[in-house]
Amino acid sequence: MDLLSNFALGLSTAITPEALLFCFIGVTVGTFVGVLPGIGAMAAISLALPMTFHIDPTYALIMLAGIFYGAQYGGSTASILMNLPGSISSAVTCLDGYPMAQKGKAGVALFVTAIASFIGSSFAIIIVMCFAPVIAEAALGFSSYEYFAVMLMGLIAASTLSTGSPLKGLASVVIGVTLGIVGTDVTTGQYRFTFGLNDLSDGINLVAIAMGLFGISEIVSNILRKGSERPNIGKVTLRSMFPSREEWKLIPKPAARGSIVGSAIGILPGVGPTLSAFMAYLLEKKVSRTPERFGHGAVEGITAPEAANNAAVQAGFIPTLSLGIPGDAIMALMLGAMLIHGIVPGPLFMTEYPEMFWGLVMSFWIGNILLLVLNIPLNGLWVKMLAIPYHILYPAILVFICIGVYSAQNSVFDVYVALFFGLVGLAMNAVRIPTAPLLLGFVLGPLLEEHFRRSMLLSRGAFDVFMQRPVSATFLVITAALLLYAGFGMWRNARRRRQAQAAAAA
Amino acid sequence: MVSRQKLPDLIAALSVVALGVAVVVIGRGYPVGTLSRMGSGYFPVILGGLLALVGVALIWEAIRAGESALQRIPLRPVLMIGLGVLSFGALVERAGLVPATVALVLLSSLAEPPLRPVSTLVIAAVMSALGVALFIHALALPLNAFGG
Repeated sequence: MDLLSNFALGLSTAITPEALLFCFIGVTVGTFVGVLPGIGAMAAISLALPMTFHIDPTYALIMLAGIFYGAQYGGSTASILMNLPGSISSAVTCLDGYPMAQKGKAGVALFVTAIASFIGSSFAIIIVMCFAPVIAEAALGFSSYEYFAVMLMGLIAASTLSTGSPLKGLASVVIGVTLGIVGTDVTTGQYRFTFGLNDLSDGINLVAIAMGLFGISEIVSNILRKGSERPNIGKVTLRSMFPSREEWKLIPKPAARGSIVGSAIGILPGVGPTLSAFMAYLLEKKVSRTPERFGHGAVEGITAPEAANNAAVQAGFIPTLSLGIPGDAIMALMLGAMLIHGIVPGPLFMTEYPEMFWGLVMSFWIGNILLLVLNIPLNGLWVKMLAIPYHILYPAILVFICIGVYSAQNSVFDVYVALFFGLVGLAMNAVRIPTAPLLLGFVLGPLLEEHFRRSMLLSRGAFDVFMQRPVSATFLVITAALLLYAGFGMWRNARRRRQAQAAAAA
Repeated sequence: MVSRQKLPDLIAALSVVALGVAVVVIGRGYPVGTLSRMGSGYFPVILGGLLALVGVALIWEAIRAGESALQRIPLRPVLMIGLGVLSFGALVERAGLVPATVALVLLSSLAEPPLRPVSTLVIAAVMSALGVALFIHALALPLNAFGG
């Protein structure tokens, strides 16, 4: 199959009126939740998930994906205007975006962000189109050994590379895998960890966990975060958005570097847009001849990370679609959505559902163009929306959460499960245990167990088979390296602290 | 001597250990089998053990780490939002979507002072209407607006 005919096939799916409509809804909702600090793409996708059960899976995926990358566009708006990241991955944008806004350059910053995001996404979509089929082809030869090793690497990377204590990330991911055990054992049909509850025989509902951890708990913590309620934001006019000639010159190279960094990091399972934005920022500062400008409103300081986080979002679809292994928690939700529709992502996905795969990829182009067109003129509207007081928003969001959780399986039990995980999420936030690895572990857990058991059955209980096969050996070596790296980081931090304490005592 | 600031991290670490031990204990109640023929208990036992190990490492980290700022536990929002969600669950099938929605909005509005009776009632009315239109009429959920 050549790229051109795939291109045409995808386009014919993506430009049907329904596809365009759902793409439009997705990117608009995505931008909306991205702009509002406190409701991330995660909450929005889990909210939309139950509704997608009623529509064609292709359109469902197009819409959910649109929410995801749309939120990336919107996330930077709050970063620039209020110094509050709309989504975690746009936190880096605060560093130079907010100083630009303070200097009266908010419009330029928003414009540059939209352009950089578009460049990053476009670059990564090309990468997806070229590489996803190649990886899927290679993965056709994968057996349980390879799958187990890749998943293990993804889980370890997702838990140890995020910010904060790697041990806490690890705890979160293992708890997630453990929660995935609840329900009926696929191999033996035995009920496990159901505590005699019939409602748990199919396992814990993904929507309920996601809405609890990322919806209910975020609402409670946002209510506490006072002071963010009525931001003092100026007007952003269309004219104020146009960059000067010097500023134009600062876009292409940082955007190109950011796109490359974002795509490279986004492909790896386990590391999402947040890390890539951060890396792109560091790289840009390093190659800059005037690094002292960073943090004080350097245009490159928003261009590179914005290109990178959008590129990472798009590139993240490569492992999800070609291997069936989601790179982060949001991708895990997308994977969950596909499984609910009876579609198993993986190497066969592209050959079995070519119109769905290529339609989705082509919709990325359409969505990104829509976003560019929507964002530049509508920035003024988004700015106004930031002024909606939270006491009006949160009861409304809660209603959507409750109805959404209920409607996924018409189950009141799931509503209580969501509440329970809302409390769990709050407790985890309070002690700084990240919640995203938990969800990733939950989705991948059953697959991990299945491949582990099958591997051990095939090898008759010999562990060294994993090291005898080159692909699984490579991934396990990377996994070990990640663990060593995390351990080394903890040791170094502990030593630094001791030295600081000694210095303070002296 | 463990300072008060370390207490939340320590409690979290101990909870992880406890969870791990519980998973091992419950997991051993299922057929464990052998490595080459795993029963439904094998994988849970491994995971529980792993979890307990990570928990022990977390205890070590909590004791050795510097002070971490204690985060206040938000009692009022937790309580009001919790009650709101619980009453939604209790009412939605027995009394219908509208009463459940109204109860949820009224209770959760109390999470954040001050009281805003007018805007709360408006939100309750708008969300009820939207819920009925979207979920009962458009998506055809098997629910009634009023009554079970």
